[in-house]
Amino acid sequence: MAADRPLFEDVYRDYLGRIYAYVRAQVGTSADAEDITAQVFMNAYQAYDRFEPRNVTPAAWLFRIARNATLDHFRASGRRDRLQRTIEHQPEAEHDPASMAEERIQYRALLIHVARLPERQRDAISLRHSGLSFEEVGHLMSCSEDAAKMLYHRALKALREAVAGQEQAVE
Amino acid sequence: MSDDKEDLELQALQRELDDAFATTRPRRGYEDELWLRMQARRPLWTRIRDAFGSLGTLFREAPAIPLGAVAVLLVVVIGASILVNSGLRLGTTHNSYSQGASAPDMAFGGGFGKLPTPALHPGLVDRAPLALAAAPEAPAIWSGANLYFGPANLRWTGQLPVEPPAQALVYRYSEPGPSVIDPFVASLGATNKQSAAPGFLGTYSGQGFTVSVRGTVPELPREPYFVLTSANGAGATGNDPQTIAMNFLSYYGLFPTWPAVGGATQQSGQQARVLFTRAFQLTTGRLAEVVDWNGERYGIEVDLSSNQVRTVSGPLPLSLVSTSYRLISNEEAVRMALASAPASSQAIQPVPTVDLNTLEEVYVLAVANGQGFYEPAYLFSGTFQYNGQTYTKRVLVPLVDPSLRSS
Repeated sequence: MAADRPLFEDVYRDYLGRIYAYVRAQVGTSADAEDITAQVFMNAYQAYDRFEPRNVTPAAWLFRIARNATLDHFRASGRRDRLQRTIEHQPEAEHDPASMAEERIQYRALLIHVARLPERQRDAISLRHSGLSFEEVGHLMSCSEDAAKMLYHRALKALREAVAGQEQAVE
Repeated sequence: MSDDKEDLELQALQRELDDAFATTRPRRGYEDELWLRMQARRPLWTRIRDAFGSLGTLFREAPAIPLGAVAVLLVVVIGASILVNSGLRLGTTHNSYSQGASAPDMAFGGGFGKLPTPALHPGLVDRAPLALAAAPEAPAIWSGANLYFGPANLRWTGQLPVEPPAQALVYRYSEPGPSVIDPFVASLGATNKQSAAPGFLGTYSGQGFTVSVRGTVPELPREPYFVLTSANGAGATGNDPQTIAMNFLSYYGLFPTWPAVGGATQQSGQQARVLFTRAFQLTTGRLAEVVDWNGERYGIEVDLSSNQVRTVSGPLPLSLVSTSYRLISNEEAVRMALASAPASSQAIQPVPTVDLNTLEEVYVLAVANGQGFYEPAYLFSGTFQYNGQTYTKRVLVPLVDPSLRSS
């Protein structure tokens, strides 16, 4: 065991909430978010003896696993389409047991707008606001730090327009 | 739109996103639920390795021990039962976890620092409830008659479990203050504060009942608890003590929020006691009941007289935090049991020889620095004859690795 590697349980407790929030912003339901989050930490648990804290922070390491798990989730089940339908009609809220079980989420509408963004924009927003630096975001998204910043700001503007469009539609 | 206005809007949106991601969290209980699921799905080979104990003791699973001889009529898992349900859900929706890969080499535990060591304290009596005038004294058959804690020659003749747990959660509470007690008594409908009964923090009355609340009693130890005394048994409908007790608890919203093993009923004439023992879940999904300083299970107790509820007492609902601690091996636990000092100096002569042949997984409370810790332990027991009577010898062995305990 690497001498400077923290206990896995500490990593788990420290990052569970952030990973869940990141995943929750990607997918339409808290049930899916729970499933994927569980997958993330199961994978991390199995791979922990290969984690080298000298080379990568626990955050970057875990978010890479989370990002891959989320992409796998979409690829495997074609849930993008289902997500789109879910977002448009929002039928899940009443039928999502996990959501009914005290999920703490105060900005549901905003996260739905995030989930509607194109994949890379959504990812940039989610990773950045999960506490990663632009350098880490760029590393995870296989682009430079500057490119990550540009992508993030484009995503932010797109999100603002989406939110404004929704507000106008309501008015 | 001007650049300034756009910048301000984007900054506001960024703050909102920060808040959104900072406040979006899984439902309560998910964290521990997932952690337990992860522990329960450790690879088989690590369990086998640890069962033989030759290649390290970091990864083990829980033993298949009978959970006791009490008359358990039903198991109700309430509130925290998300822990129980989690395994089922995982089984149907998370079938892609790798079970063949090796687990990481890591140590568990220590999140709360060094833990106090739990122990039996035979002979101590919790006298505070007797100070409540309306609380009936328990009939003798309900006390732990013929328990022996004195010196004995001990032998282990039972069957060791095959797969002991590698680690278990330790649960911690902090001493409650008015922010906990006031909402609790208010939820019962108790509005008038009276002078506190001796030994209690406060006594409150509502329509047809009074409730007294007490803090931790470290010398036993006992966690903060309440005693509700009913004048009229309101809400207690039913034809049998168990049904009446459950209806009474539901009426006052006192049904346990922790996993409970419930329904054991003891009767003596017109008096009856229904006990919902408190439990915590192990990584295997089994429940380990909480025992007191005599090794007796306890939890919420409903005392009835002529099918009318007289008193209800039980642990105050407190917020618990948990973390995993590494446990000792089965073999080590047996060694400690056989070498343990007697919990009492009161001795039978000649010193009896006792075959310890029963081993139960339990949780037991230990207190230090204003905090209570529910810690996993093994409760060994065996019986012997003396002067024509059967006595039971109990030995408690804390399971948390001694290096993680303060004494």
